[in-house]
Amino acid sequence: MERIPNSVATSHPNLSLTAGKSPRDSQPNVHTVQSLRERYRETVVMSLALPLLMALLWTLVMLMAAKIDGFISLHWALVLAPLELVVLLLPFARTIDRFYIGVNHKPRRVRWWVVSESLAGCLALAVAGWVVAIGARVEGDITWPWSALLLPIYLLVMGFLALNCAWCVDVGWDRTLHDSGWHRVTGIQTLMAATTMALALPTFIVFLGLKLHGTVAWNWWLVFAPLLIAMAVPVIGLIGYEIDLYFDGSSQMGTYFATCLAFALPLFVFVTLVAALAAKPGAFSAFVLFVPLYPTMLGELPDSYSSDLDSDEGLLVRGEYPACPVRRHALYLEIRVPSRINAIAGMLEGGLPSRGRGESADEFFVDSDDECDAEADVATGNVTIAQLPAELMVEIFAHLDLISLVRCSAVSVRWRKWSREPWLWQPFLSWDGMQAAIVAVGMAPAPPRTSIMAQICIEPMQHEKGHCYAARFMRARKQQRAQNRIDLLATKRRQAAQGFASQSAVLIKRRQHEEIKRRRTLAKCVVVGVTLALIWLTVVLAMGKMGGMIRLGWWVVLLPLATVSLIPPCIPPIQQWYIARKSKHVRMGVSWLVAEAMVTAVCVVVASWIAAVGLRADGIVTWSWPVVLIPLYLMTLAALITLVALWRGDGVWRVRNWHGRRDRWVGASMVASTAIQAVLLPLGVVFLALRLGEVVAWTWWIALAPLLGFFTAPMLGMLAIEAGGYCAYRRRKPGGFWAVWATCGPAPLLVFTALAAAKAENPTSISASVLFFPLGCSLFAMSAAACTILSRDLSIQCTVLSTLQEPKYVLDGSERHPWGVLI
Amino acid sequence: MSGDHDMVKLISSDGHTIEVPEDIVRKSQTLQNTLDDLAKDQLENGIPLANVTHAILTKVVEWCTHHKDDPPPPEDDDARTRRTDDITPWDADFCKVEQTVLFELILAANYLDIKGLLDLCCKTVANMIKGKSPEQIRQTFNIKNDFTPEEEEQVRKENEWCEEAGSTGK
Repeated sequence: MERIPNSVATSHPNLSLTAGKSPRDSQPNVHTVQSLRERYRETVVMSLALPLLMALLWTLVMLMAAKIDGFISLHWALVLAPLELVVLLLPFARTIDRFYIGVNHKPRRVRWWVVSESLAGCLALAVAGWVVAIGARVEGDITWPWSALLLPIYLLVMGFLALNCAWCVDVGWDRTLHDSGWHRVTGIQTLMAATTMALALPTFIVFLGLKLHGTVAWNWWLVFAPLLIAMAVPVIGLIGYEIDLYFDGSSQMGTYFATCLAFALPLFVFVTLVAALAAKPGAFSAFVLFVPLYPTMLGELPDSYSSDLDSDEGLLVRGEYPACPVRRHALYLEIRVPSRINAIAGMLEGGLPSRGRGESADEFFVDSDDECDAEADVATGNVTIAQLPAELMVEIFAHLDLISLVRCSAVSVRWRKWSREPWLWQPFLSWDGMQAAIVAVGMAPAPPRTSIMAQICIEPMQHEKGHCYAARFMRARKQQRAQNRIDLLATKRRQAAQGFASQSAVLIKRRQHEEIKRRRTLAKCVVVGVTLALIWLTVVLAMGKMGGMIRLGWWVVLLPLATVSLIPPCIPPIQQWYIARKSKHVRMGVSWLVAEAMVTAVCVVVASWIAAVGLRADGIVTWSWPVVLIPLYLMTLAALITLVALWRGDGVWRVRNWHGRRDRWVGASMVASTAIQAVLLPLGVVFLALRLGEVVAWTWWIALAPLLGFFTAPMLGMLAIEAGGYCAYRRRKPGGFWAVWATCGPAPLLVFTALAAAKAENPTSISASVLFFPLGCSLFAMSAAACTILSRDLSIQCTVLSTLQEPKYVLDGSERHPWGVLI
Repeated sequence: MSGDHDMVKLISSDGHTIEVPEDIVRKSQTLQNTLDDLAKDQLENGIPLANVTHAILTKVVEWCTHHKDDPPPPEDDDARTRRTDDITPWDADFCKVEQTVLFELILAANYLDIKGLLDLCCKTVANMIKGKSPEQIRQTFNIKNDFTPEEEEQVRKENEWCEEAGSTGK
């Protein structure tokens, strides 16, 4: 109910204007310092609590998976111990938090706080006890009926429903009735979610109790049906919105999809898997169950605190404890993301030549001649900030963070005009704006990580030159910023020379340019989607084949992979075709054709080789293994040559780190790890061939040792870079880069190779689903990252495009939405 | 360099003359161009600086003297970050002056084209702006709020998202 003042504030802005100002203005400095200090403390506490929490959750998941699979014979109560610890730690963490903050900053109403804390403690104890009881019941130590045991869950669900649905309905209706555009849509969505949850959750719990008790003999799928429906509604709804937005050309594209990827989809897949496992125990390993949750669980750890510690604003959402990261993200998504994108779009819009408010187009451009109050009165020495010329004010603004810049735009008319210089906002558009679009994805809210992930996941497919992701990224950013300035200058000059008529020409040209960019991204979406789908298919087929569930030949199993290797030559034609459909910007010269032909040739060789390996594994052809692997030697050799050439071309010592500084330590670490890899890769391939051909009789562990080393080397190298970066620059985000890099790339491959060696030694030791678990995780992370990046790109490009297409600056911010008509 | 030309005379707008070693004068791009363009005998009478007072010129020279051994600032835009917390203690002390002096320093640094000093002063002003609400910024710099009520309302609406951030999650 406390939301109501908020809604009043939205509909009667004058009220909130005065109400919001008064407390702050009375004691400005004390307030700011105190709140900053408090935020800092909260962040520190969180940075201690979160790793602990995540470690416990990970332990829980792994223990449960191992227990279900029968690897360990622990008592269920013990397996659930991490959960009990988490439950008990939550109120404790709050207390520490409060205490720590309270040292300098006394909380008011201490007595009530003590009461609520002790209540929370009691509740936690009860919940922990209940978890133990569940464990004991599963083991059969106690024989209470299941429906009785599930009683607390009924209560919990009802309480949750009462609270959450009340809030949802309140806010949902409020928004649906009073707001427009985005808020209205979220309002409807909230209402839908509330309804579904209210119906589905209790039904599911009742079904579960009945089924476990044996009262009904339904199929497990039926029992899970309510939950599945409840989980599917948000997925479908979010994707529907996204499609809707796409056809609407809205600037908020990608945000719904991000939510979907972060929460709705993994949860849905997870529940489906649980239902499948319950319906047919032993169908797949329990480790597979948790694959969908893996990226979110992994991403939560480094990001939640590091990005907070790192950002200028401190904690973004205050008062939210580690207890509910999901809610934190949801809030963040709900409140910050759209408004942030809106704001940046608005700024950009306001910054572009045709603005509704000022009739003359050059009004917004910084012109130093007409802006000063008076000539700076140097002789008397009474210079105020009002006398600084525009270009110097912009110079000052260039040192501000996003929030301060926005606030500056609210100071005075002149400041507003100056602070809208587009290049001031460009870094945020490509940096924070991106963060805003993707922040909902639990795995990768911090911008650098995501971008690097994009480099890893997407760019190799474009067979681009270059290898040092961070350096390339920085270079691209620099070019972009330089280009922006050049654009701006060019625009200014042209306007001065040709007047208004040229403006529209510039606009059209820019629009064409943006359109091409967007089309390129769309084409990329298709290619990445197909590629990932095919790789997924291969992994699933291979898993089924090894597990003996399907009887296809190996060559069929490897067929999707062979198709994947045929994709690279298809990318440029698709892109060119798609771009050419409207804008006639096609570059297909002789050199383009030659390059295309060469790539095609290489890819055909690779594809046929993969097929040949499949045929050999089936025994259809009987060449010896060392012969079959010959193309692999050649590929290894080619890779090595390329690598060396790239190193020489780029100059190891000129490698830049993520701060854009030249860094010898990074260069040295990369050289060392690459050198080790260059030695180990050919060795690994030869060893593999020898062992497969049974020329030698080593154990598989020895045969695969070089490959294991090959995957370890880059991880160590990245670790060295991390350590060096931390020592040299006191980088406040240690670990993030390494975590992502290792997660997507070498780490899963390392684990996979090790598992493969173990399985080859003793085929019954591990099941096929466990063998492919690491690859599944890596693929899932990669898919999520790819979707995130692409939707972010699209979202930004659509934002830019929409500002270019709609020159009128709508002051009241209301936007038409087709769904709005229906309500 | 012979001993004669080691010192350069600079004449401030209020008529004072100070002698400054040439290597320090060359920190200023404007003066460096002047030195390169003018013949030596033209420099005998000193270089008049119409836009810089004596007090400010002294401060500028003080800064240049302290920073005379710094490497020249990088040209590429890449090095330009939004960091404002990398000010050295000496620089921070240097900037602990009245606002008017600080703005005059900015003007002087701009006029003389001393990139390092300009950056430093801009960062200092940026630090004064950071973390303040618009109203506090107005108070700090004594700026008049010249928005009409409608405009103010519109601005407030637009900026709502960033003010909201601090108070969400209650």
